[in-house]
Amino acid sequence: MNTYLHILVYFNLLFSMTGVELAKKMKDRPKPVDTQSNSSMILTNKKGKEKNLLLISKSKDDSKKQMIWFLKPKDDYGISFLKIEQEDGDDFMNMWLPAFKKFRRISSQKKSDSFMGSDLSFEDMTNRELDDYTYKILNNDSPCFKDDNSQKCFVLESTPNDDDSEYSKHISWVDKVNYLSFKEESYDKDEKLLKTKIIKYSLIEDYLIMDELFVENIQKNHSTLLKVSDIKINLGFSDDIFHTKTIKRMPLID
Amino acid sequence: MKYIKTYLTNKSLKFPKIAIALVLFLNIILISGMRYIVQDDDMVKLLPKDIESIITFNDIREEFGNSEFMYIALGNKNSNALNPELLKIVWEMSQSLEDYEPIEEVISIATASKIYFGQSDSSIIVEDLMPQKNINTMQLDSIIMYLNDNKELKSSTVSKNEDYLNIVIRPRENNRYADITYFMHSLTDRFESYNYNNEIKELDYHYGGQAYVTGATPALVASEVKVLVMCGLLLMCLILLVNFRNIPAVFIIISIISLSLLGMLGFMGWIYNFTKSDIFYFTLNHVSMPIVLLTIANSDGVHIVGRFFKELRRLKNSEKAIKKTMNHLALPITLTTITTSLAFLTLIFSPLTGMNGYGIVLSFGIFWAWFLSLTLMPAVIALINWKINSKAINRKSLLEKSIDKFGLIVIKNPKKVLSPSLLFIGIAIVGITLINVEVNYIKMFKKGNIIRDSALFLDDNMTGNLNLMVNIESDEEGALKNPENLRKIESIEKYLDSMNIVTSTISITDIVKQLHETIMDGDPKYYTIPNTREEINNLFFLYGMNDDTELDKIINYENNYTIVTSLMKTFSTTELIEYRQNIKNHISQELKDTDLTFRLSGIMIILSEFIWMVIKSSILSIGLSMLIIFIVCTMFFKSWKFGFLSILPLASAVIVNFGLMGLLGIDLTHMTAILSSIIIGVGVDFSIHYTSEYRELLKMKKSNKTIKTINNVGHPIILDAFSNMGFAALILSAIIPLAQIGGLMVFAMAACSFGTLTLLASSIEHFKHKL
Repeated sequence: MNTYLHILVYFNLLFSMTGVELAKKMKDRPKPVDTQSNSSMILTNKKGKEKNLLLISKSKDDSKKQMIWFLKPKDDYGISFLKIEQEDGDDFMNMWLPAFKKFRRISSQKKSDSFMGSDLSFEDMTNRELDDYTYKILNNDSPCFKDDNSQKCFVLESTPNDDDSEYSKHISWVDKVNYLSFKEESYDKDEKLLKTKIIKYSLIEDYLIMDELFVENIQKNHSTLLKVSDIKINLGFSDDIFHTKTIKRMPLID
Repeated sequence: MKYIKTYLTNKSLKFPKIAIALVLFLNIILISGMRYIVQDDDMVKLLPKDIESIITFNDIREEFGNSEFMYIALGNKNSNALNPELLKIVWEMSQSLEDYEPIEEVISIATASKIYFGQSDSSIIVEDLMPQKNINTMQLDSIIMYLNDNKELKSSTVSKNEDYLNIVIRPRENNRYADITYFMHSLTDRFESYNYNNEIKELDYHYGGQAYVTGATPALVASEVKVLVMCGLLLMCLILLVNFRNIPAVFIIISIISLSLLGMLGFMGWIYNFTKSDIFYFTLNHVSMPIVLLTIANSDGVHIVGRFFKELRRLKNSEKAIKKTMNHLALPITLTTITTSLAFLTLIFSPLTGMNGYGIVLSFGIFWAWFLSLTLMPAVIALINWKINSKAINRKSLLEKSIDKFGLIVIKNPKKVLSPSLLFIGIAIVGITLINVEVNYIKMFKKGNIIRDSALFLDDNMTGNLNLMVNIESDEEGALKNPENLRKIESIEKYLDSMNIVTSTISITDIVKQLHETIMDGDPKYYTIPNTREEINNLFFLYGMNDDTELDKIINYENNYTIVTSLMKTFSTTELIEYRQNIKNHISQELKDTDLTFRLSGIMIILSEFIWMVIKSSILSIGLSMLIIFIVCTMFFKSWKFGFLSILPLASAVIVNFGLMGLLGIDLTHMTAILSSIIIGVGVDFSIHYTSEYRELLKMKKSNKTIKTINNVGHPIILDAFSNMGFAALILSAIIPLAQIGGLMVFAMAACSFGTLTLLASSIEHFKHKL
C-alpha cells in the first residue's frame, strides 16, 4: 500500500506542470492581434467617493502597443496616452496634454507610478515576460473562487527577478482549462499585501478577453473598477498608427 | 441626612473593628476600578464639537488626515549637515518612522520627491530626491541644487545655517502622540554619533511641533505631579506633626485623604468601564484632581482631630470626646460635603466636555472622603489608646494660643479688621483687570526644559513649531481648477507669508505653479497659475499619476476643498487674537467677490478657544457654586443672612487670588484656572465650619460667640490652611503653571483662612445684632 502511494506521488510529480510551464501556457493562450474598446473606470477613494472616467483604447500585440483617449470627465476630455513597450524595458510612454498642446514623455523609471490615476501601476500595465519572473505552483487544485468548489485553479506564485519591481511577489489563481488568471494578490517589498485584482472575461469571436477588472489597493484603501465594452478585435491596425501624431486627435467612434 | 450621618458614626463607634474592615473592603473594591482608567491626550476631545474651529479642524482631519506635525532636527551647530553620512542616518530614521504604524507620513530629504523637466527626452520626471541610502558626491550635489531651487522644501528639511536636517512627522488620525514621542526618542538614542571625514561627530537632537508637545507633556506633567504631590504630602505630614505633636493623629488624617484619593481614582475607572463615555478619560486636566481632593479631604480630618483633641483635653475620656466631636462636626462636615460636591457637579454644565467627567468624579471623591471621615476615622480614633496626659493633648499648641489671641483682636476692633480686608479686595479687583490669558506653550516650561529649548531652536533655525490652517471650500465641484479661485488662494498665501511669524506656507498653488514651470520646459517665467481651467486640469491629471505625490493630502477628490497651511514660530495668545483678526479682515476686504468660503483652524486657534472655554467654564462654575452654596446654607441654617455670610470669604478669596495673578503678571492658563476650584472647595469648608459653630452658639444663646467660635474652629482652619500649603512643593516644577499653582496655593490658603477669620468674623461681629 505504502509503495503504491509512493509510486502515485512520483508519477504525479513527474507529469505535473511546473510554474514556468504554467506561465508559458498563460502567455501562449490565443489572443487577438489587436483590439479596440470603450472602457469605463470608476475610482473609489477611502471615503467612498467616486470618480468616473470614460476612455477609448486601441491596442496591438497583447497590449505592447496601446493608445488611450479620455472622453470623461469633461475636464479630462482629449487627454491621451501612447505606450510602446521595448525589449530593453525602456518603454516609450507619451502623453498629450491638449490644454498646453504639448506632448510630455512619462518617465518609465518609476514602475510604481499610477496609470492614469487608477490603482494600476505602470508595472501592472506592462506584459510579464517569462524570463523576468521565477514561478512556483503553490497549489494544483484550489477552488478558483471562495465558497465555490465547482471551478478549480492552479495557485501560481510569480517572484520578480528585477529588484526595481514594486512587488515582492504575485499570487495568481489560474483557471485549469483556459489558463486565465481570475484573481491575483500582489505583495509589496515588505511582503505585505498591497493589491488584489479580480478579473472577468467574455468570449469574443473564440477569444476570451478581459471585460472587467477590479483592483483594490489594500494599503491606500482605494479601488478601481474597469469595465470594458464594445470590444472589437482583429481590425488590422498597422504599427504606424501607434504614433504621437495619432493621439493628438480623438478617434471616430462607431 | 441627619439619620444617615448619625447612624454611620454611631455604628462605627459601636463596632469599630467591623466598621474598619467593612470600609477598607469597600475601598479595595473601589480601588480595583483603577485598572479601567483610560488615559487620553487628545485635547480636542475635551472641547465641544460644535464650535467653528473644531468643526473646521475635524473636517480637515476627515478629509486630509491629521494636520499636526512633530519634528526631529539633527546635526551639529556650525557643521555642514548636507553630507552623505548624516543623510544616511536621516534615511534610516525616516524608514523606521515610516514603518511605525501610528505614523502616517514622514517628510525629509530621504522621502521627498523632485519634479523636473528632462531636457533630453522632454519628459516630466518625478522621482526620489535621494535615490538611495548611500549617495555619492554627484548625487549629493544634485540634492543640494534641487533644494536651493525649491526654497519651500529646503526650509522644511534643512536649517537656515545648513547645520541641521529636519524630519517632519505626520501622525495618523488616531493620535497616539505619546507612543510616537517615545518611539522618536528611542530611535534617536540609536544614532548618537556618526563618522564623517574621519571625524566623529556627536549628534545633537531637537524635538518639536504641537503634536510632539501634546505627546510629551502629559508624561512630563504626570511624573512631575507624582513626585511633587508626594513631596506636598510629606510637607503636609510635617506641618500636621509639628502642630498636633502626635503621630497617630497625623497617620489617621493622611490615611483618610490617601484612601479617598485612591477611591476616587477607582471610581473613575469603574464609571468609565460602565458608561464607556469619553468624558471619563484621564486627560492632562485631570492631573490637578489629586491636589484638589487632597486639600478638600484634609479639611475634614483636621477638623475632626483638632476638635477631638480639644474635647479630650476637656473631658479626659476618648470615647466621650470622639462622640462629642462627631456630634458637633457631623453637620458642618456633611454640609461642606454637600455644598462642595454640588459645586463641582456644576461642571456638568461646562462647555468643556472633559470637565463634565472631572466634576462628577471629584464630587464622588468628596463624598467618599465624607464617608471615610464619618466611619473609618471615628472607628480608628476609638481603637487607639490616647495618652490623655501627653503634652500634645493636654497643652494647646503655639498656633492654638496665637489664634485665641487673634480672636480677641477681632472682637475688640471688628471695623479695623474689616477695613483692610475690604481695601485688599478693592486692590484685587483692579488686579483682575490686568490678568493675561496665555496658551503659548513655550511660556509654560522653564528655561533648560527640553520642550522649551527645542521649540526655541526650531523657531530660530527651522520652520517653527505651530501651524495655522485656512480651510477653503466651494459648493461647486471642480471649483479649485478655476484660475481665479487659485489666484485668490495665492493671495491669502502671500498675505500669510507677509506675517513676520510665518516661516513657510504650503498650498495647492505651489504645486500648480511648479508643475506649470516644469511643463513649460522648466522656464522659471511660467512659475505662475495658468490662465485656463483646462491647463490646470491637465496639470492635476499629470500630477495625480505619480505614486509619491499624494494630492489627496492637500485637495479633495471633488476639487472643491483645500487647505493652506502656514508654518509658524511660537507666539503669545495676545498676538494670536490680533493675527486672527488681521487674517479675517484681509479675507473680508480682499476676497469678498468669491464663492469660496474661508475658515481658520489649527491647534493655536483651538488652544485659544480652549483657554477661553476654561475661563468661561470657571466663571460659570464659580457663579453656580456660589449660588448653590448660598441656597444650601440658607436652607440648612434657615437664614439667608447666614447663607450670604457662608459665601463671603470664598468670594473674597477668589477675587484676591485672581487679582494677585493680575498684579504679579501670572498668566491665566488652563492649569492656573483650577485654583478657583481649590479655593471654593477649601473656602466653603472654612466658612461653613465657622458659621455653623457661630450659629450653634447663637442657638445656645452663649455670650462672646465670636471669640468662642474662633477658639473652637480657628485652629483647625489655620492648621488645614497651613498643611495644604505643603503643596507649595509644586513651586519646584519645571512646568511654570504648575509652579505657579504651588506659589498661589500658599496665597489661596492664606486668603481663605484669613478671609474666614477676618472678613467673616468681623462682619458677623459687626452685624451680630441683625443676625
